[in-house]
Amino acid sequence: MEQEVVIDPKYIELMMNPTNYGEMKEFDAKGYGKNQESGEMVVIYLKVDPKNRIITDIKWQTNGCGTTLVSGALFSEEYKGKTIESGVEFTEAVFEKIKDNPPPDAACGEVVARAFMAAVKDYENRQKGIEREHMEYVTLSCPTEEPK
Amino acid sequence: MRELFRKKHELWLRFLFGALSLPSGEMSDRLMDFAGIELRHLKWLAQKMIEEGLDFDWDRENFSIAHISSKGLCESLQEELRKVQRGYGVGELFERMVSDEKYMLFMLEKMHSEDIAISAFDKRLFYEGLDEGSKNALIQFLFEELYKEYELIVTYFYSAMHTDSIHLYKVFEDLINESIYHLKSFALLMAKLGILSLPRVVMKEVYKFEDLKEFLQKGIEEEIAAKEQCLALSQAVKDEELSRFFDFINNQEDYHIVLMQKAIKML
Repeated sequence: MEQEVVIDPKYIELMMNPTNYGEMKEFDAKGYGKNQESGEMVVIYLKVDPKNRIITDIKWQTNGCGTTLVSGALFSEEYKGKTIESGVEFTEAVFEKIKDNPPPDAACGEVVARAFMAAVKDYENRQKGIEREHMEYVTLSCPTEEPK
Repeated sequence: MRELFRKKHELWLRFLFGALSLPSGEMSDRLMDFAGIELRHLKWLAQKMIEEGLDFDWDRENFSIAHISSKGLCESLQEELRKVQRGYGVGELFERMVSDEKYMLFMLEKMHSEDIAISAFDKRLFYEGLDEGSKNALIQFLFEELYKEYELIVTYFYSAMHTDSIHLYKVFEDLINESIYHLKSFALLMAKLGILSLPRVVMKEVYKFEDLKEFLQKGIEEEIAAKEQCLALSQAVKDEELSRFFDFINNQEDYHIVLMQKAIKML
């Protein structure tokens, strides 16, 4: 008889079709998260309704590992439909939750969360007419100083 | 022409993964050859774009490659070929593309006479002779490494097209061929497990890098990490053929490191 493999079907599905994955050509905010130790990077694009600051669309990309890919897909599902403020609250809760995880595991979630925070900074700056690239670095799992 | 490059990129992937989704045989071999031709078209198109002062990128749509039989696969390839041809211009390169694809369309039509079942997407997650732990490790490895090899192919391709050094070009060409072989091997294992899928789109920031030396150094570190994973898998799996395959891939990584070190010295 064929042996059944115990592997989360959701994991397989996200690896095959990561939710919201891709580039957004016209965005209201864009942010990068980077793990300087491993070179893993995540970029998040947001489309925001200016009337109520709700994230109406989100796209993201990564060169990272499977865990980063799954984290990115799941986090993007969470962010979509939330206000910027709720997204920040969710992200802060993520930082709190993952800080006690083993460094490699924590880094995969953190790099996505950092990209979101960078996108939020970009959004706020664009509201003031400032356009520049925003990148935030993984710090919980491998402490690094942001380059000046 | 940028849009045409993206469509030709998709077409190459459709032929490549179409071939990999089929059971081994004449039809699979033929589609694999066509994939090789489409990759050469891509190379020539990239060269033409650069000569004309344009740049290309690896953006593409997310599209499905899943089919339940060869008939559906061939029909979709025919449809995509016809769509792409609408974007061709005039000149020797486009004449060559049209001529190649005229033959491909003819052969795809002929392939309709035989309908082969495709099981590469059925998510059966069964691999004879592997225990559950090894199988889970293998699945994770395959998803990650399929993407990595694809990332390497497009990055080395991009670098090869943008270098003025013939020596560096040759190194990149070798690395592309090696990665294509690895990608094909991993994709075949995925097809066997019923989880064949397209690698995700590679972000621009990965292949449009500023520092080639840094990229190659990071690449060497990644090759070392991949070697460790291959070694672990080779030791974990009880299936002799699979174990030997991972030893073989592991040993190939050694020479990739040599090639990358050689490239660093040329900078």
